[in-house]
Order: sequence, then structure tokens, then C-alpha cells
Amino acid sequence: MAIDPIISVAHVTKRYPGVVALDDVSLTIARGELHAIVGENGAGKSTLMKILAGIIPHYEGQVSIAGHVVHFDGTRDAEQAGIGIVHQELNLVEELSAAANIYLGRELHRWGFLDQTHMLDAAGELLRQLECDIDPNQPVATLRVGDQQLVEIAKALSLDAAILILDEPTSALTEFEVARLDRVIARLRAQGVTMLYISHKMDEVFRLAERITVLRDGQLVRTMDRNEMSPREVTHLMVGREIEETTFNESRPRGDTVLKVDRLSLAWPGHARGWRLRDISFQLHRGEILGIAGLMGAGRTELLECLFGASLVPPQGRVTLDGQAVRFSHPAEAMAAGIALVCEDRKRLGLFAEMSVAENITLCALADATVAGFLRPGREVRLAEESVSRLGVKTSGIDVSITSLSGGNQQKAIIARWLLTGPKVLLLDDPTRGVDVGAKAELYALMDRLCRQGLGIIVTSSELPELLTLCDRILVLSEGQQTAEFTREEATEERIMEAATQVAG
Amino acid sequence: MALRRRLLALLEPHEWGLLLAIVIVVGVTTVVDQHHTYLYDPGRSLHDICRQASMLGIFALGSALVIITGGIDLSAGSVIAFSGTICGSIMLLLAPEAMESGEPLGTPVIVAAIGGTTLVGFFIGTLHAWLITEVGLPPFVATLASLVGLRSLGRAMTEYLAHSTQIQIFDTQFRDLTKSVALQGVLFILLAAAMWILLSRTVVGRHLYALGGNEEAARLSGIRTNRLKWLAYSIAAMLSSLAGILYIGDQGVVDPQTLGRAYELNAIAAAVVGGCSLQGGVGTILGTVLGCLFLRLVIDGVAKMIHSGADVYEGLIVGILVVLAVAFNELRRARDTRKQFFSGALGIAAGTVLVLFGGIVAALLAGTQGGATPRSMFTGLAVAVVVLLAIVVVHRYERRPKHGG
Repeated sequence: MAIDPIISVAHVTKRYPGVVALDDVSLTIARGELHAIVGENGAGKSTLMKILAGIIPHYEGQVSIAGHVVHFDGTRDAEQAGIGIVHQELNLVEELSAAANIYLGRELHRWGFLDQTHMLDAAGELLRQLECDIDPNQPVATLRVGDQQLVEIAKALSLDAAILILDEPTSALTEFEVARLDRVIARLRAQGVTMLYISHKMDEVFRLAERITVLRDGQLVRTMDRNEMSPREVTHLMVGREIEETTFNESRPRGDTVLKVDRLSLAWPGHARGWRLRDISFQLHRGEILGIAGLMGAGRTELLECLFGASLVPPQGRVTLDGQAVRFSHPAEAMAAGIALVCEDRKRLGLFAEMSVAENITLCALADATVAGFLRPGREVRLAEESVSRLGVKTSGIDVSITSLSGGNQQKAIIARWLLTGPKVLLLDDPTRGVDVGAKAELYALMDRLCRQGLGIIVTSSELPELLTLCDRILVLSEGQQTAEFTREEATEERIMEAATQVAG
Repeated sequence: MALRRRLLALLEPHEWGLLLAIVIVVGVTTVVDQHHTYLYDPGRSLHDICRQASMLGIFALGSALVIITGGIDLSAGSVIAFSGTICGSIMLLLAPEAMESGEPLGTPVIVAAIGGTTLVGFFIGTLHAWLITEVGLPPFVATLASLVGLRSLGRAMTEYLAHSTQIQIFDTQFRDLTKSVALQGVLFILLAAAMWILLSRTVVGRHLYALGGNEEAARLSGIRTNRLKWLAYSIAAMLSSLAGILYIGDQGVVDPQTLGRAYELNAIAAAVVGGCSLQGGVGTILGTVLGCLFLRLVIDGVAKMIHSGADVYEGLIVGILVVLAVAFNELRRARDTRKQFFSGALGIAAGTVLVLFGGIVAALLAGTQGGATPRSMFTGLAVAVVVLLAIVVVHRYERRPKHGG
């Protein structure tokens, strides 16, 4: 077993009303190792990490750090014990600057007054180490999700923790940033920092970890050395069943053009660059999946928002849907015309947390459940149940709160919502972010199925392998401009990265 | 037992709780009241409660609607005052001699006054919605402006048209109509039913909840959020206008200085006690109705039990009830985490404040008949000690060693 255990978890159980999040889990982490924790959504990974980080103070069992039994009453206790955590769901105060967030609760001060200069300098230094070039004084709300995640990482780094927990740290980072993070992790490893790394991504896990623990349904399935098993076998352990490698290049018949975009541009008033998007032109056919690749800030989300009528500044250029020129000033118009958008940040922009699964699913298609202007609960229930079974949403019922579903199932529910509107074009903004392997495969299969039924799909993603698996064609954006378009045969990760980093003239 | 489950599901847990609370309050009042008014004169009590609850309820429905959409409307009381002024003003303009002499105004004038006032209510709601959606003011600010501005405008109008601070309403037809408790009650029930249908059984209602729950997600789901806000604020203002019309008829005078002062807080309290969350997206019409009823019953109960004017303690009661109701809800939601109320410096300081508060209120209540007698002061002291002991017990209970982590 591990020599010199720094963390010892003994028979830890955490119960919530109705569900056992962790069931008698015991493991030890060796000092200085990078230990990966893998498992599907709902397996208990985040719960275990939250217990270690002091976020969940009440549980059964015992946790020891460096040989001493500990009871954390809050995150401050954990921080003092030398544990820092980078959350999966960003925990930033949007109104404050990056520097303020990094030093939140541990502000540098001089005689009770905030030492802004020092904080800005130190924050700037940390961000530079992460090779992030944002202004540390910038309010976090103005940053894109990827940058926000880097601020979160910087916050944990500023703790100088002996133990660092990273919960899906790369879920919103592009390949470029992931490489940078690898460098940071290598540096930390050299300094002897123990790291707990939660991830769905097998390639990351197998690249970085020395040992891997698999959790499933709250129980520890196995802890092993990296070279004991292959990624495929580990995935099998996570899911408890075989996951076939999904390939879709089997002739997906391509129909006629459903969407034509001609020199679409989106102004960026007040910004040096002047344009968020400049002269984007492409066509989307029925039965086709078009991918949009690019780094953070390239304009992928903005492009989808423009097509959906959701951008606050009206775009310029021409968009033609099924031959008809369209100009949407509100998502309601786009919806009526047959376009659907599944947003990037489902917690903030997609879910109605107070509503049930059924209510979330039927929201855009309530007209189908009304008779003479009045909602018929029976019809609504039927619509919801059909959607749930059609997309395989795993839920204990359609009346439960949407928040009780795992990330992947929440995503399916939102996609179900949009499918009920009978769209011609489905826009998906990073749909598999925070979704586990099993659900991801199901989403891929779903997209393939929808295409064969005649939908046109545009999908953005920061995971290049995903785009290469799914898409018939890939468009690459760099700083708001279109730098390349590849067919499936032409596309390779290197070519896409090259186009994505090209500084267009 | 499927029937039992079906019956239980008719009301939400919060609503059942309110119903139970109402029963308890009625019971306690019946017993503690020295005259046992509820027992011996139920008709009169029913009459009073019905009037109070209906009048409050009519515009509380509007407040609840706005709160459910995630906004807030602080202007209800001022809209009531201003609408009353408009109603009286229209009557003055159309039939100045009749208003002066006390002769009947005639149905057409009354209809015009009611119609015009409701239209003005719509205008006010529209203005609110415009300020909030197009100009971008937070709802708090937009309706706060109305809160202070409309009353003042009403007073100016009254001066201008009636050359006095009040407008007297003599017309018996109008007064009989608006004074009738039966009318008030029926109107309240009908409006509540209509609102319930809107919120639970129509697409617009579902969209209103979605707007309150997550505005940005609602917009991105193709919901016309600005139009829905227009609807919500208009309805709220129009309901307040309706209440204003009823109040001036009931009281027989338009006094924009005093009419409806602080009523908006009672409306918001009724909505919150009834289960509406100020975050938006949560709340029911039935809950609001029960909230109104509960609030008025407690106020009436306390008045009967201590033989003082109901309004003296009204504010205190409403304040305490709102805190208790929302705290109760929060506790129910955070069932698992062991919340500690009296831990740390803040807990001790707050505990001290509660002890003082309890003592003072008890002394006041005990002294309602005799004033500042030694007996009442002693009662106050005794209650303070009891509160202190209770807090110490709770504090000890909270700090008991937990098992496990």
C-alpha cells in the first residue's frame, strides 16, 4: 500500500434524505502523489472531495491528515490543515475582481486596510504562472468561463496548500490551456504537493495520475496503479457495463441546405478589436453536424447567440433559413422559425431550479399541452414522459426537482425541451461539459440519430477529439474571424489548433 | 390509501401548515378572549374578518404576482391613495354640483369613475414596467419612486380640484356598493380564482413562474420576459386601483394623505407568509389567500385578547409573523444541516436583544388596560427571564456533541 499516507479516509459515509452519496469509503493517499478519482456523475467523487475540503462538515466515519484525525467545521479549517480545492462549479463572486476573488477571506492588509497593490501584484503573478493574461483588476463577471476557471485555480494555488484537490479543472479549458495546466501541475509535483484529481477524461487521468481510484454509486470499486489497467477497462469499472467506442462515419445522408450564413458580423462597441465576429460565412445542411472550434474568446458562443436572436447587439449580415431571409430580435422568433439553442452554462442559463423535471422539459412546448388555452396536466405529463423515455433521462420520476438529476441527465432534459419545439436547426454550445462518459456517449448517439431524422446540428466544443468524432465538417474561429473549414477527412487536431491560434490579419 | 395521498396533494405542505395555523389562531382567540366574541357573535366577527381579509387580499394578489415574477412592488399603498384620488376627481369633474350637494351622482358617472380609475391603474403599471424593462431601473427603485411620488401627486390634485385636503363622497349608490362586505368578499374570491387559473392553468402562468425562477434562462427559452413583466405590474397596479375605489367608498372620503399608508407592506407580508419567495419563481395564490386570512386573524385575535385597538399592535404582529413564517420555511428547506441560532458573538448579542424585546412587548401587552403599572412591569420582567432561559436551553441543545464527523 502507500508509504507515508498524508490523507486517510476510513469508513466514510454520507447520507442525504433519499440517497446515500458515499457508502463506507476507505482509502489512503500517499504524500506527494497525484491520485485520480474517477467515476460517473453521482458516483460520490465531489461529495468525498467536499468532505476533505471542509465544505461538508457532517458525515459518518473518520478522516485523518498526516496521521491526525480531523474534524473540519468549514473550509477555513481545511485550509489551515493545508488543503485547497478548485471547484468544478465555479465559486466566484461575479461583482469582484479576479484579484479580490483570489484573496477572498484571506485579504492582504496593512493595519486593517486592504493592501490592493500587493494583492494585484500577487494575483497577477499567479495568473501569469497559469499563463492567463487577464487583468487581475477586471471583474470576474466579464470573463469567459474558461478564464473564470483559471481564476479559481489561481485561488487554490495562492493557498500554498500541501494538498490540492482539483475537481474537473479542465472542463472549460481549451487544449491550449490544458497543456499550460499540465505544466503547472508538473511544477507542483516537483514541489511535493499532493494532488487529488477528479476527472472524466481518461487521457488526462492516464497522463497525470500515479494511482487511480474508481467510485461507483457511492462505493469505492477499486484503487489501482496507473499501469494496472487500460482506460477502457477503467471506464468499464466506472460504468459497470461496456461502452462501445462510438463512431459515426457511416454514411449519414446529407440533405439540402437548411441554414446559410453570409458575412455575419457582430460589433463590439468600446473594445479595441471592434468586432466580436467578422464576416462569418458558412452553410449547414440537413443531416449534418457542423462543429465550431476555437479558443476562448474566439466567438463560438457569440455566433450561436446571433443565430438564435439572443445577442444583445443585433448582428449584421445575412442569415437564410430554408431559403427565407431571417432576422431575429428575440429568441422567441428564432424558436418559432425552427432554431433551438442549448446554452453553454446550463446551471445559469438552462435550468429552472425551482421547477420539476416535467416542467423544465415542457416549458417551450406548452402549447402542445393546452386545450382551448388551458393547460391539461395529463397532456403535459405525457409529453414529459415521452421525452424522458425517448432520450433516456435517468430520473426517479418526472415530478422531482430538476436539481436532483446528474449533470448528464439535466443536459438531456434541456435537449428534450428543445426537441419538443420541432426544430430544423439545433445549436449546441459545449453540450458535454460536466457530463460523464456514459451520458456523453448517449448524447453522441442522440445527435447522430437526430441528424438521420433530418435535423441540422451546429455544435461547439473545446474537446477536439469530440469534434473529430462527431462532426462532418469543422469550422475554426480565431478572435472572431473564420480561419479554416475542414471536412471530416481533412481535419486533424494539429490543423485545427493551428487555425485556432492563427492571428488573422 | 391512494385517496388520502390524493387529498394531501391538493394543497402544498406550506398551505396545510397555514391552514392549521389559522385553525389554531381561531381556537386560541375563542378561548382566551374574555368575551368569547367568536362564540357568541360569530356573524359580526365573520363580517369584520371578511372585510379586512378581502380588502387586503385584493391588492395582495397583485403583490404576490409581481413577487412570483421575481420583482417587487412597493407602491401598492400609494397607488391605492392615488387611485382613490382619481376616482374622486373624476366624480368631481363630471358632476361637481352633485358632489357638492350630496345628490346622487348617477350610474354613468360612477361607471366612468371606476373605469377611468382602473385605466389609470393600468397606466401606472405600464410606467413601472417601462422603467424596469426599458430604462433598466431595479423594481425596488421604480416602485419606490411611485411610493413617494403618487401620494404627493394625489394630494396636489386634491388641492387643485377640491381646494381642500379631502374629497367627500356622499353618493349612497356608490357607497352602498363599495361598503358591502358581500361584494368585497365575492370580488376577492373571483379575482383569486382568476389569478389561480392564470398562474396554474395557462401557458402565460407557467412562463411567469419561469421568469421568476430564472429570468435569463426564460429569455433564452423564447419567453417574452418584458411583456410578461408589463402584464404583472399592470395587474398589480390595477388591483391596487380597485382596492382604492373600494376604500374611498367604504370610508366615504378621499384623503390621499392617509389612505393606504403602509398597506404595501401588509400585502408583501401576506404574500411572503403565504409562501412566496422574494427570489421569485415560488408562491401560490391559495397560499397568498391563506396568508391574508392568517394575518388578519392574528391581528384580530390579539386585539380581542388584549382589548386594545387593533392597529396599535398591527405592525408589530405583521413584523413578527413575517420573520417566523420565512424562518420556518428556511428551516424546513435546510433540514439536514444543524443550524445554530445562538452561537458565537452575534448569537449572544442577538439573544440579548430578543430578551429585551420579549420583556418590553410583554410589559406593553400586560399594561394595555392599566398603563405602566408595577404589575405590567413585573410581567415584562418575568417574560424576559423566561425568554432568557429558553435561549440558554436552545444554546445548550445546539452545542451538544454530534456523532461522527
